[in-house]
Amino acid sequence: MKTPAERSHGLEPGREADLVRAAQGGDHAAFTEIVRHFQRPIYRVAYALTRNAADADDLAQETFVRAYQAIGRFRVGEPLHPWLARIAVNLAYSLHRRRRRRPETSIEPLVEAGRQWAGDDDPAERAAEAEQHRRLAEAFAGLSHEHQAVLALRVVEDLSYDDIAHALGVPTGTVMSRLSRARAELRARLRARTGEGS
Amino acid sequence: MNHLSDEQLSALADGALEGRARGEAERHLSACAECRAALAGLVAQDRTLASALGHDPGEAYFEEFAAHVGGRIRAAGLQGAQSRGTEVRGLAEWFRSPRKLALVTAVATVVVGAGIVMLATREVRVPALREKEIEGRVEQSTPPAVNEAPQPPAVGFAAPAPAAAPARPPAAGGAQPGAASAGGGVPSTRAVQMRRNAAGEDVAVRGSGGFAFRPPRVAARPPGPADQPAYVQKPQYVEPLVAAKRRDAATGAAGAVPEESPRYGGPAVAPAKAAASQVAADQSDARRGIGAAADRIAVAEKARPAPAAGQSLAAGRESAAAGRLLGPVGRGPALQVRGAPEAFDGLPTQPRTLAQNARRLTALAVTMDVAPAWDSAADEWERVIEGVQGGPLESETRFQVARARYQAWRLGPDEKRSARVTRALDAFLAHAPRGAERDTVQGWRREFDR
Repeated sequence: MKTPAERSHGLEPGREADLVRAAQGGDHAAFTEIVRHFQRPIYRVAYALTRNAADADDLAQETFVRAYQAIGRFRVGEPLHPWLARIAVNLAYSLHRRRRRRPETSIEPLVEAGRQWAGDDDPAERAAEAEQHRRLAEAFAGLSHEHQAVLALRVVEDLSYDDIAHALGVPTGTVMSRLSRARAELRARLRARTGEGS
Repeated sequence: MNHLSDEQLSALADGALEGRARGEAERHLSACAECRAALAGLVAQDRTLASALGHDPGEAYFEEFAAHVGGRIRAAGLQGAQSRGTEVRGLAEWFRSPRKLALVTAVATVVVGAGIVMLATREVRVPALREKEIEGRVEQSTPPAVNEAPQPPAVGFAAPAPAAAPARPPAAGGAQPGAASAGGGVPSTRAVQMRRNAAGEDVAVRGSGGFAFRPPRVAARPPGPADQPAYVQKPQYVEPLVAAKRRDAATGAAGAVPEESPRYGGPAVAPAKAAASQVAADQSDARRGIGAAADRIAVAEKARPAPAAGQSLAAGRESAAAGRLLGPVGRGPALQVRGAPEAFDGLPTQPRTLAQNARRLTALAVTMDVAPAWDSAADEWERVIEGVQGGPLESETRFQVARARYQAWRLGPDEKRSARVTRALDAFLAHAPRGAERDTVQGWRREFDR
């Protein structure tokens, strides 16, 4: 797992505050810089929660549009990353609600599998790994949205408990217990899919 | 050995355990292969999950990403959150959320529902201004007290006063305008000229010279010791306006109202030498008249302060408007009747409120004197019955229903009202004790049967 340093978007706290202030004052260049600094982490969260490149692209862009609308209300000095992640998670929730009403079939898993099978490594090993990813992704998709979000922010984005709490709007203790239950639920679902005993 | 919990293992995998908790967990791990295996499995699962959920769209994608976002912002015509316009748009977005919209809808439904419930309580209130005006008229037409002797606290139906009771003394000098008329039948400057129409407006009905103010009847104190309670008879009925008009027209002497014209049956109000034909006409009209007790309830409710016992309190809103007086009306013990406002005031909230509404509707019906108004009053009194059933006020309430049904039928007879008045009269007569009210209702019943 990558460390937070490896995941760092490279913005120093003072610089972040300056950019926010400038963006709040109508500086488009400052907001563009914010987008450039946070586009990758937000895309990762978006993809983890949608598991679809097209949806992730749309969701990530929409996250910054909403941030542009709301940055006037953002409190300077607060970390931007959890705030943006929160917008992305909320948008993903909305997307899931819409999908539940009007389900769509995604071909993304097949495309992703084909891409992985096209690698140069040992085909058998790649196939086994792809199968494992597919099962895990399916088990993850079966989790509740709250469990998906907390796992995505922790496992994929490597946010601290405090930042996750900030992003989800829950106490830190809730993050700890929710993460534990999400992992246990994921493990149980994975075992059920692979036919392993508990 | 107690193994580490899922939460401890999860926090340990995230490096979120600190201090003593972390030390204890690590000590346990060093001695427990099972927990070490569980922790390793957890870390591996996370790593696999991160890989399974990860996706790199390529550097080219991120090169264009900011431009795409800028394009969307421009396409949406957004000016940035620092502008006020987005605040308004934010509100629109807020309402666009189905959940929040449902919340707003629910709140609106509750508010509208509460409004409907409030309307459904049918709390009919006469405008305060009008009440004050009527109250003023009632006070103006109130003659001075005849007998200031203390009265017993509660008396039911009182024994009739002797016919030879002393006549009402003349009005005290210096009385306020209007009140003076009580003494010698001087035309009132207000009451005789005004009448309230169906819309509740005061309109002049006759010229000042053509309609004489009718002095109120005063219950005379029977001879006896001054410290003994005085008893006077409860009036039987009151002449309806329609009947009075008809009689005036028949006599061709509009406004020439005879002094001490009898309005009530019973020896207490029998004039010594009033024209026999006048009495007969009044008696005939009286059979179709309104029950006086209920009228007084509605009228006396408006009279503040309460008049002294034995004092005549003239006019309700209807008769004050028409310049006609209903005769002795009392809240004092001597004229205490069943169903007085105080009696209903002792009821629980719901029947008390219903009774208040019913009294107001009754007063309104007396004023308007149209069948639908009496229907409404009767409906409201019928609602009161449920709350007084089996109690001392049931008979009075049923009397009010019977009276209102009878009036409605009298003014607008039809099949429905006929059925209702039959039921109401029979219901009252089935349980009513002997007395003036029973006699009155029996008279109505005979009239209806004819």
